[in-house]
Amino acid sequence: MEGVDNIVSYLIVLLFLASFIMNFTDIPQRIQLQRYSSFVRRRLYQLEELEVDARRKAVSYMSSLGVSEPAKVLEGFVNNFFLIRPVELEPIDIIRRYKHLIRTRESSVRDYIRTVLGKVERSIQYSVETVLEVVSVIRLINKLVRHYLELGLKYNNWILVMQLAIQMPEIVELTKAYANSLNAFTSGIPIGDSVGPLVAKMLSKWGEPLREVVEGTDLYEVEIEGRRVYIIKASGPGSNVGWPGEALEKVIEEVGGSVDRIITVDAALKLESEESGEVAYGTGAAIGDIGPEKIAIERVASKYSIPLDAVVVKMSEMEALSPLSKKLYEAAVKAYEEVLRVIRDKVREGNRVVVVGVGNTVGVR
Amino acid sequence: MDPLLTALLILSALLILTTLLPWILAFTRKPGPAREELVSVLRCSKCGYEEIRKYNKGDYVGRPVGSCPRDGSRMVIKAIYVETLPQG
Ligand SMILES: [Zn+2]
Repeated sequence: MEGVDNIVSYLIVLLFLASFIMNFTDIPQRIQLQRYSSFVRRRLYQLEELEVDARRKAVSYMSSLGVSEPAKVLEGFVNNFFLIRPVELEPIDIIRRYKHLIRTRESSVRDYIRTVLGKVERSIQYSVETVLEVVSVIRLINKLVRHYLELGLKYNNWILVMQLAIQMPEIVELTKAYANSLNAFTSGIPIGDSVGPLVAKMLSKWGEPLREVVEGTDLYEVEIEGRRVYIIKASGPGSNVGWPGEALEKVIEEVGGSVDRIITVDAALKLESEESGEVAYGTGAAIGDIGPEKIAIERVASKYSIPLDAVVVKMSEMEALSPLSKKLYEAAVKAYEEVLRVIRDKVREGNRVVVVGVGNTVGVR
Repeated sequence: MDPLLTALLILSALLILTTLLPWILAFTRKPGPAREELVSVLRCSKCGYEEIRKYNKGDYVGRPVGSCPRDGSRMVIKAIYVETLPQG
């Protein structure tokens, strides 16, 4: 009985000490800092592996195209070509400034790629551009995670490290999605984000474009049940999103604004609780650019008071960047039927309607 | 043995078990990867005849490929997607 009593009193003292340490010192936080930072580090190795893998894929893709020093080309791209956001405090002409900066960056990227690739098909040029962009996004994610981890450890900021650790699974998932997309981009397979261009292609009965309205953006013209349907989509089958806003503006100006309806079709990010492949119908410009293209659509629609409809296919970020699944393909067919229904119900016979298939047209001519 | 001590020991054993349980479960449950196949859907531009075949390198939606077995018209790739096949 004596020994047991002793143990119990030891335990009580131990309990008291432990509660003191837990409540009145930073030791538990320090321990947690170590635990969380090692958690982040483990995930960081995973991210680094993804980056190495992405680089390897990009290099082998470029060397398959006959680029002489692909590693050097990649290195010259990843840390350059950043875009400094224009001043947002003064909103006057901000769209014009944004547009100007985006186009300037685009053209310097294209020049860079043109000089290293030499003369190749434009769709290949676009795909190389996307592959390099993807690698530099993965590089950026890696750099940011490392930055916050090192900052947190340097200043013993356990809240920062803890926050980072909690976000890590999401970050790893996103990076995986980007890394995964390289397979699709290098071999030219449609991805989830391609549902917009896919619907546009279905409407055109898989025909050839009438002409290129603006650089990298095609126009199709078909007749559906007595309605003149103009279809705008990025030029494929390389990875390309085109300039749908500018193209729409031009097409509508050309016909003097006599259009009954504008319908935009795009992939939309689903909420966690939503089913992927859901098709929804609403109002507005379904497009996810920084601003210039979206506002061009809104402005031209409101200038001529043309009703602006949106048909979206819901999916996760992972699905948007991965090769198109059968489920999402079926959703695209549903979206196509929805567009047909809108045309039948809301566009009078003999009138015009414009359908814009927004998204990356990789794998869709 | 002192009942208090026994109770304490059982309690701590239970606590440790509950903290380790999710970790142990994560190791035991591992679903096998699903079999996936990339396919191209071909469609005759005249009669609408459709055919599904394995994806070939260089395929894209809108690519003219071969001719229709029914009437010999041009076939066009209508869709490319990943089909998930049942296990086994
Ligand atoms: Zn046929």
